[in-house]
Amino acid sequence: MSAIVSGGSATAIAAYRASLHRRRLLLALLAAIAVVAFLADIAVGPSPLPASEALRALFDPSSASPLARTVVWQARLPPSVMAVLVGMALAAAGAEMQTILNNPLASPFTLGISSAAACGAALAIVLGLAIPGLPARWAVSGNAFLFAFASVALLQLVIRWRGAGVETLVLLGIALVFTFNAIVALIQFVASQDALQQLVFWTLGSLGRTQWDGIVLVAVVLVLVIPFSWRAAWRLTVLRLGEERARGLGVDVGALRFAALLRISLLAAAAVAMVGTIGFIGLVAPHVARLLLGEDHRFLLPGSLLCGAAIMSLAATASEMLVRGAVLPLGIVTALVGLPVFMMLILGGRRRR
Amino acid sequence: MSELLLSGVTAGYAGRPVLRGLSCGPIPHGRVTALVGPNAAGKSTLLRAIAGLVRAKGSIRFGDRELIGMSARERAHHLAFMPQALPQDTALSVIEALLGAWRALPDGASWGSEAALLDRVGKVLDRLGLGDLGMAQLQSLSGGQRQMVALAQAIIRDPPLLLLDEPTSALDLRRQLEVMGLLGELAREGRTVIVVLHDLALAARWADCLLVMDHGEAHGFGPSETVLTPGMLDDVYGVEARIEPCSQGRRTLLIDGVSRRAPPP
Repeated sequence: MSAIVSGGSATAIAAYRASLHRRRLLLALLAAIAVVAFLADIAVGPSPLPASEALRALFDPSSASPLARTVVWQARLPPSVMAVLVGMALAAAGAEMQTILNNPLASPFTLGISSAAACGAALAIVLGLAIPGLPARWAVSGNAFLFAFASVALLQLVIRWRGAGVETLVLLGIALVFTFNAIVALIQFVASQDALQQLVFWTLGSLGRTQWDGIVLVAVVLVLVIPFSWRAAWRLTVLRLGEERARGLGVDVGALRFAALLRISLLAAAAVAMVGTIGFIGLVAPHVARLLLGEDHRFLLPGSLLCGAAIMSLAATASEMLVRGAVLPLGIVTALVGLPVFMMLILGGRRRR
Repeated sequence: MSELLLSGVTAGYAGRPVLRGLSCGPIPHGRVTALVGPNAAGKSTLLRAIAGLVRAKGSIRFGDRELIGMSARERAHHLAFMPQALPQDTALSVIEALLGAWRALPDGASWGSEAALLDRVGKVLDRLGLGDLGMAQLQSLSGGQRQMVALAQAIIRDPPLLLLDEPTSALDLRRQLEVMGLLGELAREGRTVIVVLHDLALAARWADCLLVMDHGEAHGFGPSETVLTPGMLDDVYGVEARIEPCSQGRRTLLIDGVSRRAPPP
């Protein structure tokens, strides 16, 4: 039979193979950047320890001074590792959220996860309400996780029950945001000055409270969840072409969206419970990955993970360097550092097209 | 033979029934059947009901399989559905969109080697004249080009039943004819092709069979010579029309104006 208009596909296929190669290299480069940013985060800190001494304590502890060992292994390493993990969790959640909501402005917190977490935290900090049986130092994190996860579960139930679509999901999410914000405001109104300050600091987001068991928890969530994201990569890619088309090609969009929301809520709830509300990463990291790698989720998902880790480490480093002797709340820094980079990429990307 | 038999098909959207016990068939294997009819006759809904995108009651048998109640996973092996809406803006290349159409299948991720699949992608691209556009991003393509990509996505998996909702609506004249010719080839290679067409002349000239729909029911079904008549055009479309041989002897549709009687409510 005859082709409609001959135009050899061989060139395009070869170009596609080359683009696979190029994108693998880009991923390797992003990984290298993430590692360097992590090391920079270790190398600087509020305590006056030379960067070279700090890195020596990390790689060759026996040759470093006991003070350097203590500072690096007990004070700097936990928050730095947490920065990487939280960056990955929020970025992965953001990438999936943007795809399933078909909205580039979506982030892990679009459907009210951070507001719900703040509400849970407020109940623990101000009113002392916590999950029974949980150690006291886990009360705030436990509440935050429970509320964050439960808010998405509630949305899921409503969606299943009413069979509603994306618009309804987003509107219900926004309704949840306002509801939780109102409850938090109410709690703040009755809070003591001291509790109020704690709560505000919590919502600003900070790595300062990091403990190793918290790190293990976020790591376990990542290890459990990411393989499922990876398995769904092609279905998510096809969903980008439109819901109807994906369904016409045999993708069970309802089930895909349900599973993705479950993954997002686990990732975001774990992150927000450990470090508070750190915005921007979940929005920006997937954007950066998309601009660099395109929307094939085989590259977009790992790219988002690496961008998230790198941006968080850089923001953590900056939060220790901007004000001498103090560590700024990370949520503020991610916005201040991330925004110019983000603007540059968007405007640069627009021009190229 | 994999004919499609519809009996008593009822389907619709929340509180609005669209198909009311439609029965028709058998829609033949190895032929192109065009769904035609006025606006809101239920053409797209019928196609979506067959594809399982809208819940339907009754019976839709393809060969010896009942499609109603079949899981999305199993259905995907029997058919592909191309919706009317064009692929939306994305930073995906045409090749990735085609690979995705395969890999997104429930068991597609494990199917075949990347090399074999790319070989297949290349063949489909060449067949549709999209070879040059393989690495173009979907967001940079024109409407017509996107429609061709959508068609390529539907045929790459080579399902025995192809359901296409207005596959030529964004195409220029030449491409329309080329695509209709291609659909004929695809059918004769051993597929059942059902296509919603708005353009009656295109349907009459290129489809083997017409299924005329009106108010959610089958008004007529058969080869265009028997179905496409002035009486049907008056009944269903509310227009006065003639079917006359042109100077080359082909049956040609001439529309004179709206019928004097009011169109059915």
